[in-house]
Amino acid sequence: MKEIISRSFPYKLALKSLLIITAGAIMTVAVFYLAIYEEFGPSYKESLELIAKLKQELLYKTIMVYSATSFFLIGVAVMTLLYSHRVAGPIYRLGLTAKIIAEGDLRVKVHLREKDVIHPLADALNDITRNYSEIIQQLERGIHALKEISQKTEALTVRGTSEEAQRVIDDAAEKAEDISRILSGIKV
Amino acid sequence: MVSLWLRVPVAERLQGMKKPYKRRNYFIKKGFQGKFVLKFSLVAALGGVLAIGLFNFLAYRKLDQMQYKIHIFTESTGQLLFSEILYANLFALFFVFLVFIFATILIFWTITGPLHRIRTDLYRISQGDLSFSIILRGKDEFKDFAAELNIMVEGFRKRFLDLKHLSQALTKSIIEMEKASGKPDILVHTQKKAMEDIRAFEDGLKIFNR
Repeated sequence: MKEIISRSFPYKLALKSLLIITAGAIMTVAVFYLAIYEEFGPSYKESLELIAKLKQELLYKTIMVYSATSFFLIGVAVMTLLYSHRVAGPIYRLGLTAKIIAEGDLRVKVHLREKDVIHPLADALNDITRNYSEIIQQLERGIHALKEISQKTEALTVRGTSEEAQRVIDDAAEKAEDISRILSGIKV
Repeated sequence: MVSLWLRVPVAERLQGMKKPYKRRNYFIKKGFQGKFVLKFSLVAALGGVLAIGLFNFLAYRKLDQMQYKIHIFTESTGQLLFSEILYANLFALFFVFLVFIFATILIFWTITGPLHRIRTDLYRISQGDLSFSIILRGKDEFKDFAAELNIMVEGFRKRFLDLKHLSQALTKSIIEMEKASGKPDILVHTQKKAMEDIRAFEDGLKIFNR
């Protein structure tokens, strides 16, 4: 049985999100390096002063740098939104189709996009419309035949022999039985 | 909305379904997608917080050590703390990697479980079984979708139940016709009744558009 969602789907999502975060981490390292970059002075005292200053500003600068590079989070959010839409979009579409089918319209077919992930569900819904459409077609054929036979009976009751009428009624009974048999295949 | 859609000519509706379309609304199932996005974004943000915390811990420790050193061999503050920022980020990245893998596997199972159930039930429905409703577990996703499918099944069930009743009435009329065979007066009446039942059955079928 074909998988509803390919196993590669979640891993691709994780991998792409990780790539975005890795890019974010590299950028953070680079920006932070530049943000705190200051050359130590020629004297020991100046260097110590610089270290003391850095200690004072370090937390603030770290938060500022991470906040500045946090737009990569938006990248992750967008990526997960797009991936989740590959499931949610088709589900929404299938739900809409189910509503149309519920109205008795068996002509609708679901066509999903290639990148969507729940094709087997769309196929299952299409099987429903196809199978029930066939059943209705069989019933229509049956009732049409029965109608013709019944009309014949009408004529025969007026001017035919009782043997002919009996034969036609038997045919009608057979057709009615066919209809009943088709419907017995539906479990309600 | 559905009734408006049904008023559109069939050809256009079918064409509309086949036509390559663009989904303008990418946030269509807010509950499901919101949780999806939130989980990943939170893990990524947590990775950032972890990196900040770890880096500051390492950096302050190094700066404290530097204050007591006689010689400072590095040329700049950037060089001094480069390894700390690198290790902190690598550690956070590794943490995010692990949680992402765990989260994706979890999300995958959360999604596929109910969808698999729905597919199995759709197969049963396609085989003519309308005697049940699709039931998902308490915390399962896509309950709204299952509800929409259940409305469809309920609609089918009602229509086929009506058809079964009409078929029973029709069979009864035919039996009456058989009984009245050879009695033209009675046969005329039973034949009329059968024709009425046939028309009623035809009307019952007209509810379906195929």
